[in-house]
Amino acid sequence: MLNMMWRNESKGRFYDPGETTVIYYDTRSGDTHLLTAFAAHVLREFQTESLSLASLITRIAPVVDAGQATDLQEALEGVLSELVAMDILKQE
Amino acid sequence: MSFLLTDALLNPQSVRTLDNTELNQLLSQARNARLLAALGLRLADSGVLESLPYAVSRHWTSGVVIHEKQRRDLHFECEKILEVLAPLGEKLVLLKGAAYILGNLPAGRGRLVTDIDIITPITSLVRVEAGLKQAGWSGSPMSDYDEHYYRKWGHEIPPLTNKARGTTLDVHHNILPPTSDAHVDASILWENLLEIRAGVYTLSHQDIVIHSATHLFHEGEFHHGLRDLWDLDRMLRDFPRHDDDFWHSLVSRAQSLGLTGSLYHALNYSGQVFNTPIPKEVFKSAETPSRRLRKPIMDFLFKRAFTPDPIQSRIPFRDLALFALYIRSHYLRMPLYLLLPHLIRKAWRKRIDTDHSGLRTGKETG
Amino acid sequence: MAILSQLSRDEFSTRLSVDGLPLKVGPYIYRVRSKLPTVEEGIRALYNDFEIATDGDFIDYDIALQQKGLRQHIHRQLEFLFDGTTPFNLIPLGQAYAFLEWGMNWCVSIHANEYLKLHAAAVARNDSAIILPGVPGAGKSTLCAALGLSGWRVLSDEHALIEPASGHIVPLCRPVSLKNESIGVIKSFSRDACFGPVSEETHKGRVAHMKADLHSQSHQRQPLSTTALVFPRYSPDDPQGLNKRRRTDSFLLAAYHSFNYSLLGDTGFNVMKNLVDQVECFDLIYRDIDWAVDAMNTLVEGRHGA
Repeated sequence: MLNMMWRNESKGRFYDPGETTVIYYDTRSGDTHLLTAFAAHVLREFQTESLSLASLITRIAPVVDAGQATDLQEALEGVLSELVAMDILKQE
Repeated sequence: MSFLLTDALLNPQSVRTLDNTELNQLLSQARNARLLAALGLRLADSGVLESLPYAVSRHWTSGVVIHEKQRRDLHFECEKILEVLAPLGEKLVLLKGAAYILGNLPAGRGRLVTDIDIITPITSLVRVEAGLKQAGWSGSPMSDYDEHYYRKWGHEIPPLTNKARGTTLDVHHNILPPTSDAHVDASILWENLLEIRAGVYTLSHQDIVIHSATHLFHEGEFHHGLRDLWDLDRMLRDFPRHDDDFWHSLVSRAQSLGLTGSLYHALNYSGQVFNTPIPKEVFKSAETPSRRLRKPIMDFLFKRAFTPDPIQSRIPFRDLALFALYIRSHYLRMPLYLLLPHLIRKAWRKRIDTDHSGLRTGKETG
Repeated sequence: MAILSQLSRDEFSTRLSVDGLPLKVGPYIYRVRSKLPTVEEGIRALYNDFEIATDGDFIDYDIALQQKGLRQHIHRQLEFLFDGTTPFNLIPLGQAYAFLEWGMNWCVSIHANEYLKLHAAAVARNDSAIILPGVPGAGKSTLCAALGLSGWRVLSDEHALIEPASGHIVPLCRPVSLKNESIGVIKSFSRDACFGPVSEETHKGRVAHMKADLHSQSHQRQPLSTTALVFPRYSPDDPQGLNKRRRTDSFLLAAYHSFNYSLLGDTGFNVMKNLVDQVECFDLIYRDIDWAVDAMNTLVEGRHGA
C-alpha cells in the first residue's frame, strides 16, 4: 500500500475562501466538487507530480496535529480512494 | 435549391446584408435544423458574427456554447470508454458526430450530438457490452419486444446510459441492420481505420462518407436531414484535398460494401443543396438506369425533407414527403413481413407514451 | 417608445391575435401571438406597463398559443408554438395562461447562454440586488412577491442572469408565479396584489401570476451589482432566522440549481466564484411572511447582526 503511486488525472481550479470546505472544478470531467479542506490540501500535493502514499505521509505529517498523526495513513487512504472515485486521481 | 440557411452556411458574408426579419428567419431555420452552432462558427470564422448587433449575435454564440460543452464532454467520455476497451485489447472506433468532432473533421465544426456511437466487431460484442456494464453503463428499461427486436434485427445493441454522467452510448456491430436489402460485410470496415489518438480510431474517410450517406438515405433519419447533408458536403469538399485518389476509391469502396445507392443519393443531394463540387465521372459511375429513372420523384421527396421546419419556409406537401421517406427507409431496412408488425407496435407504444408523459423535450423547472 | 397600455382595446386584440405582440422583457423581445381570451386577459392584466418593440426589431423568442383543428377543440387542448414549431405535447385548455408564462421561461432556460443563469428570484432595494436561489417549493416566489409589494424592485422570479464580464445581474422582470396556498398568502399580505388568470390542475396544482412591475424602476435595463445570496426556505416548524452560511456550499447549491453553470465550463466557474466571493450568503428560514420581509429589510439597511 505504502509504495503504490497515484497521479493527478484532472486539471482543475480551486475556490478556497478559507472555510472548512473548498470548491474544486475539474476542467477535464466538467464536474464541480465540494472537498474538505484536508482533501483539497492532499490534492494540491499532486499538482506537479505523482506520489506514493509513503511520500504523501511525509509531506502531510508536518501540517497535522501530533495527536492525529497516528491516524494519518488511514485518513489519507480514505481521501485517496474518494479522489479516485471522483475521477480526479488515478492509481498507477 | 437554396434558402437563407444554405446561403448563409456556404457564404457567411451574405448574412451582412440581411434585415432583422430575415435574420429571424435564418435563426429559426438554423435552430430547427440543429445547425445553429455550425453556422455560428462559420459566421465567427469569417468575421461576420462580430459585425452583427449583440442582440442578434448572442443567439449564435449561445448555440456554440452547447457545442463546446459537448466537445469537452466527448473528450472525457472517450477516455472513460477507452479505460474499458483498452484492457480488453479492443480498439475504440468512433462513428458519426463523435468521430467528426474528435477527429477534428470540418464536419465536426459546430456539430451537435445526442449520443456517442461506437462500432465493435460482432465477435467482441459480448465482452465489450459486459465491460461497459461493469464500468457503470447500463441499459435503460425496455419492453421485451424492443429488446428482442434490437438483438435480433438491429445493427446495434440497446442504448447504454451512464447513470452518473447521463451520457448515452450506442454500440454498433455493423453500419446497416442485417435485415437490409444491402448486406454489408462489416469485417472489411476494420481494414482502413484511422488512428486519431492513441487507441482511438475512426473509419477511413471513404467509409465515413459511405456510412453517413447510408445513415441518412437508408435509415429514415430525415428530421436532421439538412444537418446530415451539411456533414456530407463538408467531408466531400475536404477529403479530396488530402487524398488524390479519394473520389475513385470512394466509388469502388461503396461497390464492395454494396452501398452505391446511398452514395448516389448523397452525391446528388449534396450537390443540389450545397453545390458540392463532385466530378461528373464520379456521379456517373454511381448512377444506374433505374436510379436515373426514379430521380425526379426522389428529388421531389428529398428536397422537401431537407427544408428546415418553420412555417416561413414551408413548402406544400412537406409532411407527406417526410412520411413517404420514412416508409421507404423502413422498406429498405426490412423485408415487408417484418416491417408491418414493427410499425404497428411502434405506433401503439407511442400512444401510450404520449398519454403519460408531460413534455416531449425540455427540463421542467420552477 | 410605446407602452402596451397606450394601445386601444381593438388594436391590442388585433395585434395579439394576428401578427403577435412584440413585448420588451428585460434584455429580450418576445413576440406573443394568441387568439385565446384567457391569454388576452392575462397579458392585459400583467404586462400593461411593458414596452412594445418597434416593427422590424429583431425578435428573440417568437411564441404562440393556439387551438388548431376540430380535434383540439373537442378535446379542449391547445398547442404551444416556438419559432413555428411545437416542442411540447398538447396542453389542456384550462392551463393555457400558466403554460404561456412557463413557455416564456423555457425560451430563456433553453436558448440563452450569454449569461450565467441561476434558477433564482432576484430583488433590489437602493440599487443593491439580492439573489434568492431556491428549489421549487422553497418559497422563493412567495417571498419575491411579498417584497415586490413592500417597495422592493423585482428583478426576476425565475432567472437571475449574471453578465460574465461585469458579474452584474441583468433585470428580467416578469410576473411572479404563485402556487396553491401562496396565492392566498399573498392576497392577504396586500390588497394591492394584482393577479392574472388562475390555471387549475397543472402538474403543480393551482397557479396564478402576480403583476410584478410595481416599482418605478421596474423596466430599467442597467445591470446591478449583487450584495447577497439569500437561500429562502419556508418551514412551519423550524425557528425563523436569517443565518450566515458558507460561501463554498452556497456556490455548490446555486451552481447545482443553475440552468447552465456546467454548460459554460470555465466561464461558469469564474462567474460563480466572483459572484459568491463578493457577496454575503445567508439561509432565510421563515414561516411568517411579514417577518421574512422585515429580515430582508434589515439586510439592506445594514441592521442585520447589529
